[in-house]
Amino acid sequence: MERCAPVLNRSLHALFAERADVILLGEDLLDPYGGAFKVSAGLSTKFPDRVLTTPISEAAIVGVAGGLALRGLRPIVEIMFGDFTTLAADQIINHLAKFRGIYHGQVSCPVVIRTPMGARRGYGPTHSQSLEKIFLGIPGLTVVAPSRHHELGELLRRAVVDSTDPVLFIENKAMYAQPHEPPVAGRVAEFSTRTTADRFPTLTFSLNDFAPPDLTIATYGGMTPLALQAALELAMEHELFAEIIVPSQLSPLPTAELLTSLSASRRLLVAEEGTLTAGWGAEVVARLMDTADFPFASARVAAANSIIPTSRPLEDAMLPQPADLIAAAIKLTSSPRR
Amino acid sequence: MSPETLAPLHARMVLIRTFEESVLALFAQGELFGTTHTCLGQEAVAVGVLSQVTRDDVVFSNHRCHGHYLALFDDPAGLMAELMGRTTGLCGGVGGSQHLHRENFYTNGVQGGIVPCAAGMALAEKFKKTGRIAVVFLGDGTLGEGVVYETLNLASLWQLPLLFVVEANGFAQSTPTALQLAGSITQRAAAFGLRTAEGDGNDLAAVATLAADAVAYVRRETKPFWLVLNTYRLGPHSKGDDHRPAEELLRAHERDPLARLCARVTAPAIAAAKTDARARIAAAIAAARVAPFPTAAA
Amino acid sequence: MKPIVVEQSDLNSETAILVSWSVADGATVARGDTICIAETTKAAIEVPAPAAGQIFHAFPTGATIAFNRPIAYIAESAAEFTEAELSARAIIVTAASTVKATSTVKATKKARQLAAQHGLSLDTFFPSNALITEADVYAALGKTPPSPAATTIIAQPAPLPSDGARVLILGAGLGAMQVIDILLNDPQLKPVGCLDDDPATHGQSLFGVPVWGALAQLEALWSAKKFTHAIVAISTHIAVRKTLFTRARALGIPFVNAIDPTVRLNRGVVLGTGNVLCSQVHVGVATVLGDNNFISSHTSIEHHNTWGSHNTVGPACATSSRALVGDEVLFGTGIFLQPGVGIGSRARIASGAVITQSIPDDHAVKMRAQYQVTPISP
Repeated sequence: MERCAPVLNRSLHALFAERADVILLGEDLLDPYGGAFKVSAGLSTKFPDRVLTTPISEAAIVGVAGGLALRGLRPIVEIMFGDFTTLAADQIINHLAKFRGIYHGQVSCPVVIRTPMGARRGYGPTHSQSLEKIFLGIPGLTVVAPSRHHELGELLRRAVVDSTDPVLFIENKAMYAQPHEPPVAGRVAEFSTRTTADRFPTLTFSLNDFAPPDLTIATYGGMTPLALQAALELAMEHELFAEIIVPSQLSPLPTAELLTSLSASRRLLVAEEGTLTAGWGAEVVARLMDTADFPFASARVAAANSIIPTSRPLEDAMLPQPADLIAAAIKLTSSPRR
Repeated sequence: MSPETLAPLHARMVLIRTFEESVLALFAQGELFGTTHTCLGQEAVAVGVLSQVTRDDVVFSNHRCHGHYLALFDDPAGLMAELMGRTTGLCGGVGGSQHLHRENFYTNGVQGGIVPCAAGMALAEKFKKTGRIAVVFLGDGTLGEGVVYETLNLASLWQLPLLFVVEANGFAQSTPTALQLAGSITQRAAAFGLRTAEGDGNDLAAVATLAADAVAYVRRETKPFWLVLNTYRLGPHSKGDDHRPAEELLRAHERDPLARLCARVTAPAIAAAKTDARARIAAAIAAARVAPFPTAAA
Repeated sequence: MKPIVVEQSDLNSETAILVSWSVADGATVARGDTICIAETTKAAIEVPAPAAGQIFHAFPTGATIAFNRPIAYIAESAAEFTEAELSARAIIVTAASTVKATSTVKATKKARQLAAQHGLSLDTFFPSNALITEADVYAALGKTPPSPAATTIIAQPAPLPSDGARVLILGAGLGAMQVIDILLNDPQLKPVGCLDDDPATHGQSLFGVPVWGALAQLEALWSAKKFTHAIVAISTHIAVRKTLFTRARALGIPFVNAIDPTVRLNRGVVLGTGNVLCSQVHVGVATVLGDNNFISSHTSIEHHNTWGSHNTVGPACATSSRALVGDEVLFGTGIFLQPGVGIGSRARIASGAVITQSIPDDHAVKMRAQYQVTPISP
């Protein structure tokens, strides 16, 4: 089975071959290095005029991409580590995401900012964070964070060619080396799956062919394999059946699948790798509270409120693990269904 | 500069001056809300530089952008309606004073951030081989922002057709340059390998000459240029925030770029320019007043 | 037998993570086949087989491996291993395979346990790849599972309207105040009015809920759709309680259960309808309650009890497991039941009783005071 990094790499090659207006900017992109995680490998050799290796200037290169997009090109920026998006936050929030709105729809600014986020690789406090929550709810900005079960290449292609506004495209670091395993005939391993028709689809996983679940688990990106593992153990050891909802678009948040599942389960568990406070999970719970016309119970599993230690045992302890999801799910299902 | 060339440029400076004075008056009367940044005293930079570019070239301006817009488009009605939040404004009233766009002209209100965007536009034109250049306006206050230097490095490294125009107006909002800027403004860019020039931004002819050379260089060589124009902001940074001593302002008025043109433009021409500007701006305000506000549903 | 090593390709890294094995332990490979993927801090490395042969893992997935040290061996057959190599490898690979055990799913733990109890071979009975649950095994055995799905709690037997129930309270006395207090905690159950035959209550309101009038209005108000559900709030008169419930049900009026938020219902509890469960009531695992029972605060009905309908229970009573309670029983305050006792219908149990034997239908349990109350002499 192909790993996720080469799938993304192939998609970039196809995009460059398909369209002459696609330009890639970022640090250390040139072959033979080909980008820190090799997702950009080979592009500078095949398309030397359209791959710009840059100084270490995250703000400037995102700003340059904004200018390119306003003048009709389709730039892609690679930020080497997601932790460095803070350096470009002014460009993303006050410039790229604003242009179409402040100019009253007279322009479009289709920039894709690709960046790896996430821990579990021992990279330590400033190269392991999941900072996407900072960028949720910025009008004009779409935040996409696929899991290894989404059609990664197609999602990246849509972000580049089907957008009028900037897209922050978050690639989980651990996912790069994991097998790319999108659903085949509505199945992934033991799970039945359902995929929405959205531009950035939401996947739903079930172990009992979508019979009414005991609980709904919402998660995304790199937490997905851990949530599926927890769901498997909940079913096998406890006969508790979870439906796992995995949006690839974090913001604006699609809620249809979550509402459908939750109306049956009435119990929501949200799992994310970032820290708890003001996280994606907080928005998921609040949004569903606002829109559901039925009561439900909820719980959130996230990272501890701490830096991400480099030492592996400490990193493991700080991050949410399948056991945390299982404990939270058992607690959630031990009270009567609302 | 011949009288025939000078007259329309002078008239445009008068239009900008009259427009900005009207904006402050409308705020005082409570007809405008929010904020604005007028360019009183800096009209020669706007008119002098932008008389040297074509409408195909890309111009990126900042929060103090009314003069640049009027120098390029001669459209007080569209700008006034925009400031007054009407549907007939050039951005439908959404952008307001600091966020303008028309054709190849763009502005935004955050210091420094527009500079790499302008570099990206220069890169796009170079990539598309259009022969167009990009011009970005920044102030001496903006030189405190790090992204300016990231962009200087990139512009030089990638040989971008980008003209940086530094309007050194002596202030970063309320803070005099002496309290917020070390070193030389021109040497900053020279250190990145840019060609630079510096001149009197209140002397229209000098500005036009320097800008003509700079634009020609950027277009011919496909390289960036750093043009520093020393001027003085006669009005407040925004509105009601002027705490400068009266004698300093008095001295500054002696350098007023419009006053310095009095000897070279005939008195009837000056009077005609003023009358024309007042009439056009009064008409712009009257039209905006009766134009509809946008509705939230749209 | 040859060792396979990962060559150091990245001077920044001392070690790599063995992300995944591409071939199983013991698998046969051709020269150049990728055998595993290792990742350094900056790059993923695909490790090729140096020759054709059989691959034997030296580390489990997820292990940290050193460069230029064996991570696997390639051999023409397992026979090439020395005893020492085999035993060292066995420890490592066993540790790895326990991690992977859950990924070959066939049946849940409960299903496997039940099948084993009955000597049922899951492979024989379930040839497909679908996940087998306890319910599937019961079906295969031709048995019905004991009590409804043991993890499900049925607190409201019928689904409520999506915009909640508008509940009429039958009675406007002290019991009604308790019931309204409970309902006001539940956004799905909105108390809208009370009926009571005491004219002094008419026009009054209880915690904001108006008393509409006499019980004779029940039919008219129901026809006028003034409420969607009802509940009886009279606890002291069992006969009245039963009559009102029966009369309303005959009209087709649905009832709700009023369950205080502090009530604890364990798994497998099944409630009928029209029950009132006051604060701190506990209902144990797999206990079944009928309809129209009024259970006062701090009462604990232990696991696997079966209760009928129209019973009223005073505060702080406690049953033990497997108690069987009929209909229309009146319990006083602070009564204890030993495990497995039965209480016949229409029995009346005095406060403070400790019931150690079953009580037949239509019998009363009375208490003789064992203590004296005397003034304290100075």
